[in-house]
Amino acid sequence: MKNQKFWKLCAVPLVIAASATLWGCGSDSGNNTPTAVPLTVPKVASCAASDRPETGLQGQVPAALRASGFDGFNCNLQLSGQYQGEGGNWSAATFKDGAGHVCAYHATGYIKDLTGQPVARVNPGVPVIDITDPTRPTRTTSLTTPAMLDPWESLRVNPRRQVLAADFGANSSFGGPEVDFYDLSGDCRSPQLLSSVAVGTGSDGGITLAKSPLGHEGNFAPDGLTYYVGDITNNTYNAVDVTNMTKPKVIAQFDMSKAPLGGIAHGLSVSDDGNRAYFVSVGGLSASDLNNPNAKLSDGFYVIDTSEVQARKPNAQFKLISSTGIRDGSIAQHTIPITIGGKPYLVFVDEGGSGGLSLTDNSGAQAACNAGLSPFPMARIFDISDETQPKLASKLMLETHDPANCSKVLPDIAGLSVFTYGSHYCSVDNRQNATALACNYFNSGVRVFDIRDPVRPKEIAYYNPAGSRTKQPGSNHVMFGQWQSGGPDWCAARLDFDFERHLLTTMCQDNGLLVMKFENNVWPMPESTATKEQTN
Amino acid sequence: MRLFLLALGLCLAAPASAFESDVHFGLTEWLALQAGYGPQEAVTIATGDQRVDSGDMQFMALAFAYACPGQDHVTAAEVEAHHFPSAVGIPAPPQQRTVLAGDAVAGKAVKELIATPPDKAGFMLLRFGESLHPLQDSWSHQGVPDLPQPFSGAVACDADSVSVAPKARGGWNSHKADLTRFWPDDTVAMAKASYEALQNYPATAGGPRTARDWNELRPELGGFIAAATKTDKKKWFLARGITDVSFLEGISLKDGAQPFDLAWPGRRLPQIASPQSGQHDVEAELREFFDRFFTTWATTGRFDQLVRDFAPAKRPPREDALLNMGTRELAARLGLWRVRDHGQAAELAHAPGPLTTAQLVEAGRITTARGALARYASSQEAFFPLLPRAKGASPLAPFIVVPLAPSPAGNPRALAAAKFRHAPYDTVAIAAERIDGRWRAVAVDSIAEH
Repeated sequence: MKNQKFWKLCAVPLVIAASATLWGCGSDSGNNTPTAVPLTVPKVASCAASDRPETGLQGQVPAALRASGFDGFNCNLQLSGQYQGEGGNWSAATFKDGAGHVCAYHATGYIKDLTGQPVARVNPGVPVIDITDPTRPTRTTSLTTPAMLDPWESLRVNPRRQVLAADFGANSSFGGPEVDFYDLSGDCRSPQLLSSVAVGTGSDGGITLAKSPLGHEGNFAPDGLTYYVGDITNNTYNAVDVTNMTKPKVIAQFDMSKAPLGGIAHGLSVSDDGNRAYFVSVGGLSASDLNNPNAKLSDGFYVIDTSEVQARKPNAQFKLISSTGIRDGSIAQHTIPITIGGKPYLVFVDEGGSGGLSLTDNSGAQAACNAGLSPFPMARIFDISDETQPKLASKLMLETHDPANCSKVLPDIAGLSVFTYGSHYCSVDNRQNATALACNYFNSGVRVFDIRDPVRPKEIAYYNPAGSRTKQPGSNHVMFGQWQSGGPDWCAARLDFDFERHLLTTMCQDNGLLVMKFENNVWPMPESTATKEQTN
Repeated sequence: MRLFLLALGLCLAAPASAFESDVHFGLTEWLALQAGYGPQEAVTIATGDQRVDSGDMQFMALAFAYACPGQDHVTAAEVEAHHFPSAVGIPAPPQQRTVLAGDAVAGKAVKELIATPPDKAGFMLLRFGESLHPLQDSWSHQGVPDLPQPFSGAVACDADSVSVAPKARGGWNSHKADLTRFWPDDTVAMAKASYEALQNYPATAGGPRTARDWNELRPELGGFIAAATKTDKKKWFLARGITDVSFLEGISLKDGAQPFDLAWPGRRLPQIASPQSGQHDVEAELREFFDRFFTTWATTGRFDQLVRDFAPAKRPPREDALLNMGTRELAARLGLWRVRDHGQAAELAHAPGPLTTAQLVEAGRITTARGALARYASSQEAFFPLLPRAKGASPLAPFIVVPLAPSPAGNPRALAAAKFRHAPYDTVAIAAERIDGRWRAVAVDSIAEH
């Protein structure tokens, strides 16, 4: 959620509050931290001998290191290979084909900047990177159909149908209703275009919409027959039937303006059986409401019954099961349904801190600190055994998030505005048996947590890449004017675990694709199991 | 008996096979290699070409559902574009939709793909393969599309929208049109046109290609064209270094000297979640009848019992006879459609009814031969997934139900059409009638497609 229009919303949460007449139905999970549990996630117990552990707080890149040029930190994760290319922006995915090739794909910035001016690019679009040899990631081609020119946060692989998909984000301002599908089944190094077609046009046999959905976020149901578009512009979630990928059609729409939290559509996930969706609601509190216990919450998530969509019933409807509001966070990003020890949980991730986001300064972080709340967004784990009343199990707060450390971390981000030490995307090692959760926390890099005890997660590894000394034209860190030479990267994309090779793959915006290897046997854990289908 | 069967086979012009996957995949892959494409590129082009025959959801089209008697001009137009390229679109009388081998209409999609910008050429190879399909089919389907008359004409087809092989090339109930050995000159012309198209596609990241001269290739085609069994086709490919011949699965030629038990993994078809049809516009009782019927048909080896369980106990009145088969013939035909080597069963499966006593005996012999039947654990496994065209979306189903006019006695009738995985070039349909308050299966028939 990063377009200009949205910055205005984020910077002025009162705009949200004024329109939220339906608020008040959600439960408040903001301060529901279990007792006797540390506020922050315990730090890694020990790093490998050759690692470069953090020198300040957990997650911190101190101001002095930023000024002198940050050389990176790592603990129990070592870089195997990197493909920097032209950098990237918001989403990434991997796929292993039947012949054993392993490939990575990631979004890069649009060919126009935020004001519509052309960006000088050599290889625009989604690079296809062969990581079969993780020590030598090699770009084979780039995908340049409309949605692939900037999938924004929608780039996903569906393993069951062996397809790469994206909707057309394009700076979340210039996009359109196009959805692109590529076949990965033959050779993941050479994806083949299946279709690039507009959805919700009214002529596709689907439901009639007032407006076609515009790209930004998106995700598959695990069976690969439904692709959900999270449309922030029109504030809707759209179920697109992609059984026939050359004729995708919108078959149901969830109008967020009528939902109880009153927030905005963004990321989502779908249960393994396709009968539940977990939609986020983008919102936040105004500075004056941060300490108001009666303030109505707009940031959070919905548990939605999607069984009619999954069953393709005529006139299928979404049914709201529950809504959960977040007090100490904003700008909800996405969710992941997982099972730990046979019990269902939901990972929920914000991309805005308690005080919201501001395009122009870090006033949101300052406001949160003043209110004694976390200035930066984080991942959380909710117990959804009772899906009508999700209960907070834990927060994945680093030391940088602790309000007590505000005075130590705010100087680090002087002159910067958005994201800084916040979270964005997370992934688990196996949705059906989650033991590890990896998250990208922008300036803090890649963070990996042991979540076998979801109430008491602990950090087991991190990798925060060195700051880039050159601007990458495909990086939105650069496009958004937040890049500083030698400063920490924006690590924000999805991550993929590789059980067989003990690898973790992701993309950071300046450093590009990173393939990392776990050290010290921190993962896989004895309880970890391989997953054939990773659809975080 | 042998003499009789030989004569019967000649009479029926030996329904067999195909510009099927031996051409659309195998020959295309070989030609691509000769044109200088890398092995993976050649396989990708061939895969795209072959998938047009029931290899992806957008290509699943059943004549029973779109024209016989279903009415769906959108799907009918897609069938025409993919398999029967004609300058005149759907709907139009078949005489106006004559297919001309290798004409501009047949080559239109190829021409468009050849214009692909070089930076996109690498990820458009699959689509390029798709574009070769109508070009190649324009030779096997050249002429005026035939008018199917399934169930002895009791089920009417819309002549203006149905597309099946011209009568002169075998017609609607035969695979002859696509059998290379019957059309050697056409096969050579088709291969030459395909080769030219392959040479004209832009260079990919693999760099410029070096193609062999066509005149070097031409003599090699003789063995391919003449091959009369899967074994012979396989030998031809193996001799040319193409070792994965799984693409020959399902072609209508007999296995030959060696049983052919490979499975081609190149289709991109999603799994059917449930054996129960979710086709909304069909009454529940009828859906449930077909659910049970198709599940049993796909998994049983006892076709006489299948008929006892699902067919009427006694034959309806004579005036209803068009849609009715005797129980013995129905059992024999249901068994023939379960024979894995469709080339072995095709003559009888496609033979007009009623079957003679000798044909029934032969059907029994083929069906009960050791290992003859395709084995499936469920109907989801046995049939290709299908998408009924209804208002809104439909879940995938193993069959599509189409209503029929009531019987002369006023009994409701319907048919359900499906495609067995082991016989991908045929659509089979079961006609059912509500007799004495219960739905019963009264006949089976098929249309050879694509």
